[in-house]
Amino acid sequence: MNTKIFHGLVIFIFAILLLYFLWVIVSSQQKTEVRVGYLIGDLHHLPFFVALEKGYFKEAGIDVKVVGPFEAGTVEMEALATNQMDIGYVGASPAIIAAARGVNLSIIAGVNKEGSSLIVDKSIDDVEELKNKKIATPLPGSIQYILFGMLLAENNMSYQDIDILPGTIKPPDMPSTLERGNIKGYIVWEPYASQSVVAGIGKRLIDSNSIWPEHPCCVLVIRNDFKEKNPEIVKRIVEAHKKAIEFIKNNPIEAKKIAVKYTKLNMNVIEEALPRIKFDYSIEKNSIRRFVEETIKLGESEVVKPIIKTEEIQNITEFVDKIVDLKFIS
Amino acid sequence: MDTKIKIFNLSKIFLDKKTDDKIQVLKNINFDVNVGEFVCIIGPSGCGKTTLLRIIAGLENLTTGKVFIDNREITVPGPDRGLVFQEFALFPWRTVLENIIFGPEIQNVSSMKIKKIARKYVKLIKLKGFENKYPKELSSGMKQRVAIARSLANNPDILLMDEPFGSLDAQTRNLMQEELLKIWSKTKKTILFVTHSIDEAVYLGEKIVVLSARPGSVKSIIKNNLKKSRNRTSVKFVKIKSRIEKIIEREVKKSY
Amino acid sequence: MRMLYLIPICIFLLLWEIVAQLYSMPNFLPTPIKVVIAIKELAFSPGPAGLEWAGELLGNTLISLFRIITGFCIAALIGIPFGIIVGWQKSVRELITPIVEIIRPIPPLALIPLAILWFGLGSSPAIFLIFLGSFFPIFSNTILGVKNTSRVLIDVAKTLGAKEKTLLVKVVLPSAMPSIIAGLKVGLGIGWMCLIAAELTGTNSGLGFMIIYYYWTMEAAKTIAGMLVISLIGIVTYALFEKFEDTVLSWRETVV
Repeated sequence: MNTKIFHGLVIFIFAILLLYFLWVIVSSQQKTEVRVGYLIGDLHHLPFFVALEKGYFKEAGIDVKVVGPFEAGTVEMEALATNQMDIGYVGASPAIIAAARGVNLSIIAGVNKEGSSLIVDKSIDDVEELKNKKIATPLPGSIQYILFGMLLAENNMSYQDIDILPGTIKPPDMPSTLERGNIKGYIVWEPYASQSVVAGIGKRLIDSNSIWPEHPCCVLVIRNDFKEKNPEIVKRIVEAHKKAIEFIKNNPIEAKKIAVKYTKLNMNVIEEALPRIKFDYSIEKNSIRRFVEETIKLGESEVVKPIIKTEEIQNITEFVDKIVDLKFIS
Repeated sequence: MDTKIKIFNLSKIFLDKKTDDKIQVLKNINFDVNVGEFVCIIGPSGCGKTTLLRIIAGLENLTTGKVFIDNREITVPGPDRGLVFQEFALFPWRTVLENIIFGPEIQNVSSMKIKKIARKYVKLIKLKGFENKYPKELSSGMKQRVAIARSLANNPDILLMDEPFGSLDAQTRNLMQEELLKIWSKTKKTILFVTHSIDEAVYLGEKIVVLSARPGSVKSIIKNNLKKSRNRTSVKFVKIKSRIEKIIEREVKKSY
Repeated sequence: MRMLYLIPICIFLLLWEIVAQLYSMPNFLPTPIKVVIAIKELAFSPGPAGLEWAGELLGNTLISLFRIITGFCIAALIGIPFGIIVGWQKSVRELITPIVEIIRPIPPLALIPLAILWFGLGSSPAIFLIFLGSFFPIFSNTILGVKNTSRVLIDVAKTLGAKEKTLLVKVVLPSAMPSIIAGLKVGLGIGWMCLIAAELTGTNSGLGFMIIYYYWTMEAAKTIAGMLVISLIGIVTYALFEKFEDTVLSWRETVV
């Protein structure tokens, strides 16, 4: 009699536990939680920080889970591809590369234009003088890497003339590495460019808008399966994003305070850096197409090591049409 | 006859570092060995014969007394006294030839001379053809022969031997004893031979030093006048043997 | 019949191909064929600075090999003599052991940022870390080998006239060789791991960098190709070491 009751009890408890676990799993699938990623200390992603601080997402009924911050765009895209996040603030370049490799994503809004600089040791006055010096860039495939390639091409140089360190040094470490003299220059997104200028470590040799005026920089990227399943949510997210950009334009002082909080850098660095960034939620297909063309061209002419090959994108126009989805920003 | 080795009032006390116990293993040892003499040392187990030999070799310190070689006091090891161990102790990473020439090699003898020495001693111990074998490939008897050759190749005046044939089987042992006597008569070295086989001591030694039980002291020194090529079954042989046996038996009983 | 090992390899390749075809994300599990193509591409694309002619695959391999050989040799050249002295002299051992035991537990990989700080970017921090990783196994095993030197062999050498320096070079060192070589094997393995880890940051050349570079640009086939090269180097090095060991230590008695 006793053993039977005991066995019965054990089975009963197991069943309860099992049901409980199943319930937890099922219910967590159904949350309208949106996982959003961004890049570490990237001042370009200020609209995201503002939207979080001012509660625009919450107002729109979106439950945002912050994923990251990521150290680089391609790493962020891998997380997107493996379903670790749904939407990302990221450079256009890593997004394009991921799409070329077969990741199913769309670019649904712009985040900013311009806002990167080539910072060098104070003794350097000219791009020519960069020959054989150690220059750090973010990961190969980042916008800054491509822009740097364009700069080299303009000056009839290639990556083989430079001791280039792509991805080896993380952007937050670039100013201190320059200070120690381990590198002679670096190209990176704000605020890490201005950080060196303000600290007197280096000087601005060239701004990214001098290399390519109005170049697109960061964009809002989404996984296609998420986009197709939740068009309503996506619309609301883009709306919140637009609102945040408006806020930055109209409230620079408060925006800067939010920037300090999220980048953990001083106000004077933010003051120097923020005016150099053009926040804009629009995207032009032509600019994206130019990006693809430049990336392929630079690789083929061996100015930089090839990132995207022509075989991967048969028809650039079709490719751009496929990945740029403008319906949410209209 | 000239005295080659003089042991004078030698005592040895071991200090156990862990327990601070003092153990006296040798007490007032006195005896002489003449040039070219073959002397055997025998005694019950634990009487300190190995320790005595090591002290003469210079590998152990004595507590009191002195050891004189050619009237000079010695305290450290040297190439004038070769020591043959019971465990053979061949250098396993050296071939038979390389083991034999170790002594001359470290004395910086010229390579021409070394070659000559090598050939001579390989021949002496009858191991021609085995020059390039490693110790792992040799039988016990062969290893012991190499050990002896190694000591001899260094041309020491004195050969100290610590139960060198102890780990050999009976037949090999007898053969080695013969070989040793032949080598002794050829090279005319002074030999001090420790054993616990009475038979061996009487067969080999011109003089037999019998030690007491621990602490070892000289119980008796017996002269062995039997002619060369001793007959183990002869009456005289047996007589000397039983004499020594009795002394040792008494010593063994004492330690119980 | 020795080719039997090919069968598991073929089955593995087949499974790999099937899984890669089924798994939808093309970049994240490339098929074996894609990896072969990647190897070809890597072999013929221009190599790192100064080694453009060698191609990426060979060029980066050469750079990595240069680093490991340098770091490992420095570790051996310092570790072995240092280990012999520390193993031999008790006084030195007591002095040195505390410092060594403080440094030893620090995993070299944790020192990567510090190494870059001290040595800048390029090969130097990698060589430093390889040195640190290889040193301790070599050092410790040398000490072990020295401490395990047979007492008897030392005594033999002394009686053949060896002084301290000769003892160290002609007895202790050969006797410790099996331990030393074991230490070298382990040290090389650890050094190789440190190399690849160090090359993941702080340099823009070498096999480690090549692997992570293609991870960054989402070209997984090339990453896997790089890993295969690393594995191949491991296999070849191991085989060479075994050969070396068998030659140098052919005198050893083996149980099997």
